[in-house]
Amino acid sequence: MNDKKKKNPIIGLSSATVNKPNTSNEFCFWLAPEIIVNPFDIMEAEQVAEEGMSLTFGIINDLEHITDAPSHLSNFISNDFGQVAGEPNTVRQGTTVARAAVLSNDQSIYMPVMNDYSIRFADERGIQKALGIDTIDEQYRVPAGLIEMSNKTRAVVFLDSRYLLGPEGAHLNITGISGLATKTSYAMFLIQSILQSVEYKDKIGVIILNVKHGDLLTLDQPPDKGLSVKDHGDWECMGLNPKPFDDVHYFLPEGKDSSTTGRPNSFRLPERNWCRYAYSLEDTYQNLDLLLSNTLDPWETIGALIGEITQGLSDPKTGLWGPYGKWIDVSDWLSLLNGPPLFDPDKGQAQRIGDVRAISVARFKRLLRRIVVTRQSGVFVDHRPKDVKNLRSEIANIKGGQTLVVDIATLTDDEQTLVFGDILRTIHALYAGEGSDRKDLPEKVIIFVDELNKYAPLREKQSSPIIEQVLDIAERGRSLGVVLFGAEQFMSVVHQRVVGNCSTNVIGHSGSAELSSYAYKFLDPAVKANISRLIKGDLVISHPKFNQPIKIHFPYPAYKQPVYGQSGT
Amino acid sequence: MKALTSMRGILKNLSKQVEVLSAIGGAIQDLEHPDFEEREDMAMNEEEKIFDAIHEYDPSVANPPLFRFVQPLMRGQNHFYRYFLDGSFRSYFLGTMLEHERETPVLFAQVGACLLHRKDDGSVCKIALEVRNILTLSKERISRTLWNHIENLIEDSDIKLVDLTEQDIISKKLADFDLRNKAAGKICYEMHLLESEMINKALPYLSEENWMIIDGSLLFSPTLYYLRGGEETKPVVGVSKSFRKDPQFAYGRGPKGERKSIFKLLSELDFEHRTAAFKARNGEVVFWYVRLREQKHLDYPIMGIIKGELANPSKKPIPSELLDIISQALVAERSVTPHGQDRRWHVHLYPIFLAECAVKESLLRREVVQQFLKWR
Repeated sequence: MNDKKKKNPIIGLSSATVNKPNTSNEFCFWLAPEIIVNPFDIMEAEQVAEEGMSLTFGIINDLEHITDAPSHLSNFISNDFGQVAGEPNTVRQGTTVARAAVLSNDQSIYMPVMNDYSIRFADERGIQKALGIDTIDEQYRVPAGLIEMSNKTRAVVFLDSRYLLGPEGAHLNITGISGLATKTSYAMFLIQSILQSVEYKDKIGVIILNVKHGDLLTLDQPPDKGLSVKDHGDWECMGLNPKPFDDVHYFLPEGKDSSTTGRPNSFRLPERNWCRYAYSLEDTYQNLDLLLSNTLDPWETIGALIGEITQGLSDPKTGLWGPYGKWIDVSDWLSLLNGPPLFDPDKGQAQRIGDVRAISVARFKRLLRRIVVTRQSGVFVDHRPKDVKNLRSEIANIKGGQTLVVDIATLTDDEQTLVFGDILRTIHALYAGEGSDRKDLPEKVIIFVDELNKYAPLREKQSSPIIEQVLDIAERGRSLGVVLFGAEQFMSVVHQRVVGNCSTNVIGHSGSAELSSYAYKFLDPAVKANISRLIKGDLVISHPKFNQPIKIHFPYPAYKQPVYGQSGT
Repeated sequence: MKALTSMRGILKNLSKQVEVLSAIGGAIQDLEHPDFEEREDMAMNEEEKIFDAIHEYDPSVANPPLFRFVQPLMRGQNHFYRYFLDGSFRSYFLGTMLEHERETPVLFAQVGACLLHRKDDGSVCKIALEVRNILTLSKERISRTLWNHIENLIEDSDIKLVDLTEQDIISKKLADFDLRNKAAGKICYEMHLLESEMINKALPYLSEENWMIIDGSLLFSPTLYYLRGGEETKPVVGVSKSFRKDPQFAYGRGPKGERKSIFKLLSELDFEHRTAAFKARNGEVVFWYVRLREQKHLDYPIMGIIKGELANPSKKPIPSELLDIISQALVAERSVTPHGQDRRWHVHLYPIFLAECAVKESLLRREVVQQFLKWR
């Protein structure tokens, strides 16, 4: 005990006053002179117990320095009525008081911390007790980063895989303007950590959407100059091997000139394991609703028309592609747009389809033409060549241990929505119905997408096919084994039900205007202020196992990243 | 709390012996009189009202001037004052004890004193802090048997029994018809007694480079007793925030001589100046006044002025140079001030204020005493 006291000295004493009493949820303590602490440092306070003492752990939310000066005017007068030069003879009495939110007590005693009880920095074991990590079985522990405190104490933060990948909870949301590629770097680090640490790691499939430049098209390559000694040390400290992803398959979009050059429409070409994908009408006819997700359809006329088209292009016997009846001549995008039954070439005008009036059909044609013909990136093709893959089929064929990277960086917004929706729909169908009895189906599929707000924007009333698809995964994925890792700059613009279903939230540096929105209501105001001061690479994580959000630090991911992406600390 | 527990037992016992008119709702705190210091000054100096002897010498001038400029001497230049001592008390009226046709007020008090040391960086730390518990009532107003009984009751407790009618330098002058007023003086006397003991203990730590400021006058008998031993001036300065307003000062002789009231003298005292030192008690003590703050910042011309006192065992005039340094260092003590916390901020020295706070913080809370000290 004496040895412990020497190593871990008392840094202050708890303080309860008339105006600021300690409670079961919070305690204050003053700091001895010269002691430096920071928000998010984890402290241990001595606490009563039936026998001996127990320890109450708290995380510092806020620090304030108080003096005995009742007003600023008193300080002005104390300095000889405003003399700025010179030092007063006696230092005015003051102290720094820290406000800590209670994390836990090692004997489950939630009495308020009494006045004048000793406060120390928690040590590594203390931090893990504070966070409840000691109650997570080894098999469920997923290293999620490091806590680094002001006294240089470090501790590994573990998430409980049951709350990250299901079945207790699932999904992860990363938000903030923390810096170029920080959110992505963290997602990649965490996925790598999952793939190395969970028991059923070979039964996890990962689908990653590359939305920016060529950021994620080199996941299987090591960094050019290797990792720094510190990053290497951090990886190993967490019991992880700093290595690139294994068994990565890249799917790159077909471009306008791909058929002649053979080169996909991507910012860079992966070294290996890549193929092109494209969408013909046959590949898309069941997902036309996703393609028009961003179109306002208050009377659902477009929805009704899409229903008619999908039905007309499906073989009534098999449910697969097979135009029949008046749709028999429709074979590709152009024949759909320029021929019957949507368009009468003789009259040169759109035709009524079922209950949908001609004027609505004309609007649909205009919208679809813009998306798949006039403003398309090249991903829509009349007939998909043999060497160009059908993304849906490829995704449906996912196996455990595989990482599938789908590049959508160069696609238009509508095309991106189609691809993401198609992936979600395919995976959902795979786990909820048609392929769920496949033997080699991964136990879990993690889908990572940046700019989640594009696909699940905050809409109070109106929904859309893509929102419905994301909500399906967010609300039912936990039990199916489908896990969504989403990222965005502003959580306030993401659908509340999507965010609400994420059991783990990671927040990087964010502006105070953003933090004042409803989405961050679960955070203490002081924590919000601290988040607005986070430096690039630092993140605050909220996880069901932790009673309070904590600040973590993570090592640079061990795959090759573009030069501008020197992030992830 | 141990003292309170004992005290409650004593009160319970006494209530069975004699009739008691208890204070309604328990103990009532006696509030301090703001002008107490001034009344004390009068009490201890009542014989002298005219001061005509300047008791300092400056080899460079034949007659020391009445006012001298004292530029602040900051801690960075010369860390002159290192120790600061102040006392405080809190007293509670418990009730009136009736024994046949006689009666006496009964008061419980806590007196305390604190000695602070100022470190090189300007921060302060506590060297000594002592609190005493006092039960005071009039011995004259009760029977010897009852007094002896009370003495027996408190024998094993850490409470001191004080006869409030016993004459002392302070309470004898504060006596009037109501013994409760006299009790305040008695308790104050006990506080000064504690301060004196602490001064005596602190003397070995002091030197020409390590001076001590004590709050209030040095004329209190036990204090002066400790400071007038030997030939050398002890490095202790008494600083009074408020002082008697009736003395007159004679300066110069013959036709040029003039007599000034204290108001006249102090109104002419400029910012960062001191008056010449006058002698009191036949030169055993010298005193002078220092203006800490500019008049323009204050409400009244004689605000911002403190009275300094120095014990003078040799009774010889004090070197002006020493008085200058003492005063210069005092002027520098004006920063920091307890402005907003004490209405005497303009004359309060912050380390003294801190010593007073330390004592007050260690005294029992009013609510605790009120609820605990009951006669049943």
